[in-house]
Amino acid sequence: MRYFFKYYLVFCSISLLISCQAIDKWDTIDVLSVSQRLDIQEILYTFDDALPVWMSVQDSVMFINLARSSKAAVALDIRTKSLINSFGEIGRGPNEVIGPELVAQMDSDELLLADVNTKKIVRIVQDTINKNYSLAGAMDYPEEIYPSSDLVFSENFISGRNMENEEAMFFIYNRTDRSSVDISCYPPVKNLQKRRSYFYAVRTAINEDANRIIAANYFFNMFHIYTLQGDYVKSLALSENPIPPVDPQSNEIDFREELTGIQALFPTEEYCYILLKTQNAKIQKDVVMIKVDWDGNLIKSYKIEEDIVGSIYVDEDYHRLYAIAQNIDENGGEIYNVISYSIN
Amino acid sequence: MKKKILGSIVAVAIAAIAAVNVNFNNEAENRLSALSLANVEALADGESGGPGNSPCYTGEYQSWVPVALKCSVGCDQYDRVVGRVDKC
Repeated sequence: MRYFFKYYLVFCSISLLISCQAIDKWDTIDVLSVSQRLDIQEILYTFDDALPVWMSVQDSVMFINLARSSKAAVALDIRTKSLINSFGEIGRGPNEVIGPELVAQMDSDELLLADVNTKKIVRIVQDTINKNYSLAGAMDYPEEIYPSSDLVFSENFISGRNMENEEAMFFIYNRTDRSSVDISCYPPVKNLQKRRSYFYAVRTAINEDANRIIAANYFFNMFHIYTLQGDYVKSLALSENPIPPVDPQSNEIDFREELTGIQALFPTEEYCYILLKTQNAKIQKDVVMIKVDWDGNLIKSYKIEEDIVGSIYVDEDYHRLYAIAQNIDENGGEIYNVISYSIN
Repeated sequence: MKKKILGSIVAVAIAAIAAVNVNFNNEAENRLSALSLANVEALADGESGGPGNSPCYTGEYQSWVPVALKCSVGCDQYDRVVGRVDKC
C-alpha cells in the first residue's frame, strides 16, 4: 500500500509537470488533406483604376469598398455583372470618409462602413427613387474601442483590433453593458518585442449561437478559438511551422524569406471559411481556403490558383465563392477582377 | 536493493523534469522581463505610443496586412501598409 501511494504520487507529479510543459501546444491541420481545386466560374467586374478591398453581398448586389479611389465604395449587380453606382465622398465632412472598411455583420442585413480616420461608422442606404446607394446616418463609434480596425458586429458584441494596445490581439466588446475584454497576444514568440499590435494583428469572426469567436493571425499560420466571454478554447496551426522567424537584430518578424498568414475570414452559421496565403521565392504565391466548423474541425479545403487580395464572400445557398483576383496586364499595370468560383 | 535503485531512478527523473520545468518558467519570466524592459526603453525613446510620437509606417499599401498609421499622409491617417517604421 505504501509503494502504491508512492508511485501514485510520482505519477501525479509527472502528469502535473507534463501539463505545465504543454501550455504552448496546438494541433496542426493538414490543409491539403481534403483539397479541391477551384476554377474561375465567371468574371463579374474588372477594376483598372481602383483597388477593391472588402466585399459583401446582399440580394444580388455586391458592395465593395475601394482604396486609391475618388469614391469609397461601389455597388455591383451580380446578375447583370454591371455597376449600379459608386458612392461615398472622400473627406472629413458629413457622410464623408477617408479610408473605410466594410463592417462584417453577423446577425443583420444592415451594411456599415467603419472609418477610423474620421471616427465614423456610416450606413449604406439605397435611394427609393433612383435605386442608387449612398452613405448616410453615422452612428457612434464606441469610445472604448477607438482606434480600431477589422470590426465585426453581432447582435450583442463587437470584435476587432485596437491599434494602440500593444499587449492585446483583439477585443470583445459587449454592446449591452459597454464592457470590453482584451485578449492577450498569443502564442508567445521569443524576442518579438516591437510593434506587437501590428505583428499579432488578427481578423475575427463571431458566432453568438455557438458562443465562439475565431481570431486568425495576419502573419502567423494560425487561428485561435475563444468564447465570447474571452475564455481560450484552442489554437490550430495551418502548417508545421506556423510562427515566422524573428530578426534577432530588430526583434521584429523577418519577412525577407517568406510572407505568410491568414488573409480573410468568412463566417456562416455552421462554418468559418479561412483564406491562407503564402508568398516566397520557391512557390511564388500559394492560396488555400479551408472550411472549418466552430470547434476548428476541418471540413474541406480548396486550392486557388489566382492571387486573391482583400476579403472573400461565400454564398452557401448557391455554392459560390466570390473573391478579388489581382492580375498584371501587358503594360505592367495592376488590374483586379471580381470573380466567382463554384464550391461544393 | 533493487527497490532502492528503482527509487533512486524515480527520484532523479522527477528532479530532472522539475529542473526542466523551472527552466521553462524562468524563460517565460525572462521573456516577460525582456518585454517589460523593451517597453520601458521604447517609451523612453518615444518609439511606442503617445500622441504625436506613435510609430508610423513608410511602406507600400498591401490589401491583406493590418491597418497602421501611414507616415506619408501626415501620420494622421490609417491604412494597410507594410515596411519600415518611422515616428510621427
